[in-house]
Amino acid sequence: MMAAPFDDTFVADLLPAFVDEANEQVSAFEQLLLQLEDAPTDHELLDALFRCAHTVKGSAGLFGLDALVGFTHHVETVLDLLREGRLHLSPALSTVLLKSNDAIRDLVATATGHNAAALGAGGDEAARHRSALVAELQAASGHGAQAPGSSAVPPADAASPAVPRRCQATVRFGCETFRDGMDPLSMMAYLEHMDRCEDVVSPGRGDQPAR
Amino acid sequence: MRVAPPPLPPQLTIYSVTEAARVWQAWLLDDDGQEALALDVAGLSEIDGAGVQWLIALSNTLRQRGRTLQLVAPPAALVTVCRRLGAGFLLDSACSETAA
Repeated sequence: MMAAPFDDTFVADLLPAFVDEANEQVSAFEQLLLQLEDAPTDHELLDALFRCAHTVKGSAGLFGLDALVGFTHHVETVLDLLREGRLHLSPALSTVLLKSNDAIRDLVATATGHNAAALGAGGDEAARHRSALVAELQAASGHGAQAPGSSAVPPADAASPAVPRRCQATVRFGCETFRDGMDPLSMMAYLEHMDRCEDVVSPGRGDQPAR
Repeated sequence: MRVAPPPLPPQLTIYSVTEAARVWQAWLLDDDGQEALALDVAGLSEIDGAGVQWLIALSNTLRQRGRTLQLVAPPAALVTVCRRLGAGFLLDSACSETAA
């Protein structure tokens, strides 16, 4: 076999592990936020906070948990600004992030069901709550309408588009990707499974720009 | 006397690619060839992202020396994997040869 095609049993087999890991990340996120109350500019803590959200989002994407990916993306955007020093972690923002973390925990909890296709919504009220949090996150990041880079990720609870959309997504794999047991090939295969991929360009070729 | 390039392992995966890279690195140290390097990959039965990454690295190393890497007789599944990862350029010479 050259490369394993996407298999629905992938979800059933690995979803419990995802839920366990995501809950660990959510707990760590909460602890880090509490630590940051006394040291709001601590780079290591801010980096760790970002990695928590980044890990949850990345893993959720593998399972097609679109609502979780979309919402966590907005959280991640704010965390990226924080760790770059372009945003200050005020008590008010810390509160928004704690609420957002609770929302992520709730979204992860929906993944404990066995129907992956139905995961993520958690009801209209929860969706409205998340939308309100997204607005607060965007306001905090200075992007009232849309967070930077969000065109590559569906917004929280996005409905099916009325017309076909063409998107360009840029993915940067870390140098620890293989060491962490991940393979970009599996992710690209999954993307192909989700939708039609028109073109893939790798920065691997020395004379070729990345896009 | 020129030494022939080492053969590829049938499985070029994360489990074998480190050893393959070590063997090839040793060969490249002594190699002073100038022409395109034709690499027969017909016997490749399995490859993953790590394997493709190494092929890209090998291609780049050769390019820096003014050489090109030509994958000869790539199996269909290898073509799929390379295209999936945006590494179709590895196949350019193979495809053009096939077409010609």
